[in-house]
Amino acid sequence: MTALLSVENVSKTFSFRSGWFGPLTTLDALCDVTLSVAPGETLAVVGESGCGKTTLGRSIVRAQPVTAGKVTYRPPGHDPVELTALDKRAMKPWRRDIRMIFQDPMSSLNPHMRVFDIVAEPLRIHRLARGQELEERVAGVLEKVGIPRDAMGRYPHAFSGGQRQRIGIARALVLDPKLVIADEAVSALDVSIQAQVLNLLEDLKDEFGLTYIFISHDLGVVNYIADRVVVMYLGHVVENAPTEALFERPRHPYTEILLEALPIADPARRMRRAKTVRGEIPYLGSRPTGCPFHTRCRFAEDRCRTEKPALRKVGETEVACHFAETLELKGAYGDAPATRTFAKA
Amino acid sequence: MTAETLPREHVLPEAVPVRESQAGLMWRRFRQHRLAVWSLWIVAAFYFVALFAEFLAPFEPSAYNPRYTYAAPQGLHFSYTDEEGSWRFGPYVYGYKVEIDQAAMRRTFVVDKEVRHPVGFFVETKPYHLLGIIPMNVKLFGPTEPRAPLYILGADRLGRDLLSRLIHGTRISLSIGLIGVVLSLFFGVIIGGFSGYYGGWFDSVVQRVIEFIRSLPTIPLWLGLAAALPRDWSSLQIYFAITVILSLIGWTELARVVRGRFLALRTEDFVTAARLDGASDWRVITRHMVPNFMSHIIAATTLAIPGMILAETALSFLGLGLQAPIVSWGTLLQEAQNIRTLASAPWLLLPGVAVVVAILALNFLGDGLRDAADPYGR
Repeated sequence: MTALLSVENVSKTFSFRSGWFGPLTTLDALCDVTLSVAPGETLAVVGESGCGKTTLGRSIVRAQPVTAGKVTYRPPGHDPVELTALDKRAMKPWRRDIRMIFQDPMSSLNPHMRVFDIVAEPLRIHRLARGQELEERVAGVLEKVGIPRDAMGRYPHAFSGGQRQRIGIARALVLDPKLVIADEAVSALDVSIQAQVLNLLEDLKDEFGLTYIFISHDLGVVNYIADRVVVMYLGHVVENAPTEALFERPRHPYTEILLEALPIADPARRMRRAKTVRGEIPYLGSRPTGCPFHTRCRFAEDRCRTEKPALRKVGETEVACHFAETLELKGAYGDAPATRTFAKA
Repeated sequence: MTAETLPREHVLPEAVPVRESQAGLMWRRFRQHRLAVWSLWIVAAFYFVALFAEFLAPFEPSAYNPRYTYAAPQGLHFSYTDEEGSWRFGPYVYGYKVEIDQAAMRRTFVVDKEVRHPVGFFVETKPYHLLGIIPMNVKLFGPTEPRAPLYILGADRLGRDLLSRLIHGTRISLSIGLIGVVLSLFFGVIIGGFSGYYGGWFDSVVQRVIEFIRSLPTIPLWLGLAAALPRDWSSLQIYFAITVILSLIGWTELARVVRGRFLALRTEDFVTAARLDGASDWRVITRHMVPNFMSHIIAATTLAIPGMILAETALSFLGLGLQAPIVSWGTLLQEAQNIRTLASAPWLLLPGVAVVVAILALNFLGDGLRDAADPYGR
């Protein structure tokens, strides 16, 4: 199956000066990121704060230009479009197909616009509907997300966080998109509301035939919604695997740490859990040489400090670790011993 | 869970007033600020006086009478007992009698309670033009006897009525504040807007220029610029030149406010959302950003007016702003510059009271607006 959207070797470097004559500092938010998402798939992108997952999302929707690499969109029944090569005007029609849901429902809705106008805004910008038709389309999509028609004239402050997030979803869906990028779409919500919104996203996916790129730091949520998971660390993709495979048998030591951080409901099991995480995430400006993870990895060797591992296929998984084949890492379910076996002495 | 199964009570919050607009919210919040509401009325009264100065003032500001130099305030009275001892109602002022101050060897006017000059409402005077366009020949009030003195707030050294001059001065002083602020706002919003929205080197340059302008001591700068105005300019030209000079500094403050709001809003998610909707820069700015800081701009503007009025007053007081025959609060206070005048005619300081009241009222009004501008307390 051809990918709906593919990201190839995308890098994004932010550079800034401290003061007028200060040294130029560069910060690599994304390093050579390659991934793709198939039509109908839900791809999750996970990682700690500052790992570049939000930058990745913003680069795909062209909220900011990329430094290198390309993002290609393959609309069904149309030639592939290289989004990164388009200028603002040429990009505009594709904005209808690729939409974004934001993290903070408090700041993502304009407090000075009525809900109707917020959801109608994309339709107006693209001149897709007006008058009665506009009202019907907006009311229709709002009802789909559970906001009744008679609440359309209200301002966002009259709604709760969960309701606002659903309004944000309605705004994304009103243009009948193909691909929706949800950047931490449920992180700011209460757990009970999270479930509600996740279920809504699932239902809408089936109904509209959507493809999601779901950016999150919450593996519990990811396990629930994603078909495939991309793990990012310091701007690198370190592992890309089907959700089941990733949770059962992680291939990268960093993924193991992430899984270990999952809350465990059973206190007895929680006590037995070994604490393997160590160190802080390094400052992006002073990225380690070699494998980006070697400063915190308990399996790190000299090779890791000098040679950067490439993303390669191991089983179903794509992983960037020199020892991916030999590491026995703990998954989220079992208590497999975390040992390293050497294939060759 | 599908949309249909969402519990309805969770979807619709009760007790929230339906469809309250931004302006409605702001007004509700503003009304809670009692001082600001009072200030609003006071400011409105001031601008009413400024607008209808010709009608409200009993005399022309330049009408003089050498018979009544430094005449003391008469005060306005409403009831008296007539010769038969019966109680009468009707506005009147007392007349004056001349006394010779033996020590200072000066004539002084004292209020003579024996003489009463009736005051009438809507009295006919010689024709004039309200606002310079509407021909009228009626004043709100004035002496019914043509040659009777009427100096409710006293007279100055040429026997001119201080009340009339104060009313006419209100027009000049308040309008200079308003026009100056409009000019500042124009430059401030455009320069600050570009600076905040596009950022980069333009922003840096603009900020350094603003810092430079603000580091100049204002009074010497104004003095220098005012002194450079050609002598042969008409008083109207001087008036506009002074407003331009005042707003030369004034725009920097507003530019900073606007830039700050642009910087803050530029990274807000709803602005990003609008850009990702495919909205043009113009649409993003006018539909999504400006409405979000309009209220701040209004508040900042209101707070900038007092500064303008004070600056004009200071310049005119020093004799470098507006010049006679233009009457402003500053030029009126110029009359009260020396201690001898103050000792013998303290009522000439009344324009100072007007300045204080107007400035305080505008400041409180601005505070109230600023507080009300953020109904969500974000």
